[in-house]
Amino acid sequence: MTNIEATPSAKPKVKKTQSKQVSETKDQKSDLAHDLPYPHLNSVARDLMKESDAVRIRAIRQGSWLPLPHAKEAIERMEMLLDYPPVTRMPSLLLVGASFSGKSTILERFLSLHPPDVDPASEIMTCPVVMIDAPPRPDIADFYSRILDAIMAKYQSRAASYEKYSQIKLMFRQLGVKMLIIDEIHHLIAGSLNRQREFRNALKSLSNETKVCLVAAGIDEAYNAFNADPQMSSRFIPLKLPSWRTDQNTGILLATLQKRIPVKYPSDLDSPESLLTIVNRAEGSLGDIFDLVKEVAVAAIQSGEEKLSLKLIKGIDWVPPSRRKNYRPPL
Amino acid sequence: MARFHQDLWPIRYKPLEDELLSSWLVRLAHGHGLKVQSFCNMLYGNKRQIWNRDIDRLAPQWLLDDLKLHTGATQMQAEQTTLRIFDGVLVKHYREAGPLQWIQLMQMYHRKREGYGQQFCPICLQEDKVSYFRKTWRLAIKTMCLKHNCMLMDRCPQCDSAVSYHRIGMGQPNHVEFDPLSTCHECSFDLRAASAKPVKVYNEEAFDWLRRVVSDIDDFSAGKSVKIDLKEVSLFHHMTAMVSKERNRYHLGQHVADMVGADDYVPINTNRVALESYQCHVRNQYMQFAAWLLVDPQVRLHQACRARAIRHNFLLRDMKDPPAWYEDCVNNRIATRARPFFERRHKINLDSRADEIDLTY
Ligand SMILES: [Zn+2]
Ligand SMILES: [Zn+2]
Repeated sequence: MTNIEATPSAKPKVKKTQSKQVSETKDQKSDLAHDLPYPHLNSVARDLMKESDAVRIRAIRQGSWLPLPHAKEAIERMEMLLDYPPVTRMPSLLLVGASFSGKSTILERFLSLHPPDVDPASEIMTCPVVMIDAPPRPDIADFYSRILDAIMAKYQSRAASYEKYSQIKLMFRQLGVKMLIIDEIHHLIAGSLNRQREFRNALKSLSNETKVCLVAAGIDEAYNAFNADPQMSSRFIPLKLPSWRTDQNTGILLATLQKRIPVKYPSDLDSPESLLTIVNRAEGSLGDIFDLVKEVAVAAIQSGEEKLSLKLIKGIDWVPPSRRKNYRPPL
Repeated sequence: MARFHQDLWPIRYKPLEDELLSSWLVRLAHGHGLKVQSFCNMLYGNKRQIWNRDIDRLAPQWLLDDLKLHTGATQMQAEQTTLRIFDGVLVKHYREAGPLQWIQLMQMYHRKREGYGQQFCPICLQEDKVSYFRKTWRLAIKTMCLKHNCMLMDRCPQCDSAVSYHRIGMGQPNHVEFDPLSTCHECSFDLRAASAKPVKVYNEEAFDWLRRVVSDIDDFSAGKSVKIDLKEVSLFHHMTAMVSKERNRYHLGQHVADMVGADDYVPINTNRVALESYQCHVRNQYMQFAAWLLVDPQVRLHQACRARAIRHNFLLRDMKDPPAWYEDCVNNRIATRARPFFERRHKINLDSRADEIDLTY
């Protein structure tokens, strides 16, 4: 599980008043925080301090949803696209960010908000959002196969591209597909300029003929590849995700995290040296920053140290993402 | 993250009322944008050939189980698509090859359906939201559509091809939206545009009797609880076969034709052709004649014997397990009246419309 989520307040407006009340009570509590134990924690974490180690560890592992403004914005933009009426040129979104900046997590989160219907009693699956990884090279037949796989369609893998394409159009219409998410879109750069152009044309036709919105996500190079084509750059509105380097952004993130981790003593998370160590070990990946911090927090409780010390951060046995198999189950 | 149900197909149509397995399978394939042969090859490989056999009759269990799994259809829905449901109802000993009582033969030859075993009502196809083929349209006992009061058809009116909706799109690539199942695979004529012929009624009473038989079978095939007595339908089959053929100098069919004033009776003069492969309007006539005899058997059968239209001992010959009342009627030549064809329906009548029918059997 990854632990980035849209902030709850990004959810329906109706609930806003309710959550406001909650935060007010929290604020009142924090006014009294000087008299309370664990002033370095927020009220939720402070409440957790009454619990056993096991409960605290469980709470840490479960992860608390951290409202990240960029994730919230991306998801809101995607919701807007999903509601878009069919027009001649469907608007599209290009999510740009460094590797491990949390793009995939946002996309998966959005997908999970719009799951396909799995009711065996229905005659046709409704599937508003389809998500694929772009093929490693701009190979159109492979691209179509991935789409057909994602909607669990039966097809002949050796069939000609145009047959697969026709099948996609038929299936998209039947399943009510409204949005196609293509992650790792920068893979298209792996081909010749001709191939890249073909691939972009395939994207355009697909969007024009099926009236699905496209959401593409990739690293900066994807942005350049798209901009080479004025038709694409006018259609794809870019949204840049922040990167997680040794900068203020990450510092604020860690400081926020620190308040949420129920350990007895104030931690070193916001020290420049911790920041550097964490960013390096997690290789700038947002998901991995969370992961690493969680493991350090668990170790802090288990060892009795009760503090996310620099020593722990440096010493913990943890595999960086680059050495993990980049595994994502198929849709 | 919510995952797709691992086994469910995105297109998971359920069988429609009285739909045949083959019709269901072709619709599923077309829904996926595939020809049914490609669809089945993809799923079951080349080893499990489906379309060179009469799958509605064979209906292998593995196929039913697989479709059930992927479409979310219930056991009941899947089982109901096969002609096996007529085992012990219209058919004495259901088997995979050879003739079956009251079930039309397909005579498959390399995926081609040589026999005109698949009938249809053009108006039913027309009224369907999605055209599909019914189980009852494979039954020899069903020659007319009760809903539309017309004869069934068994071939394309434009090119005379037998109905083979599983061959729609053959020679075309897999892509597209395939033509509806009502399309002639050979000449693309839309069977929905065929003009249905009215049923020729030879005798009102006999016709009503036949209508009730067909209506019970329609209900049974649609999954309603109707009790159909195999002995009675077998007797009806026996009687229909008898009026269809001339035996030596005995002309039972011609005798009935004379009695009801039919001038278009032609017997089938060979023993090798089964009732199940007669043309639809021919079968309909023979069945009306047989029905005429069975409406008042103790009078009409003995009358036929006296007229030397049939030899008395032919009435029971070749009948392995006749209904007891019939045996009585033939052997004792006493005045027994035909028992109701399907007892249950008469019981319903007895409850609801007791004043309308004569109960003194
Ligand atoms: Zn009809
Ligand atoms: Zn034809």
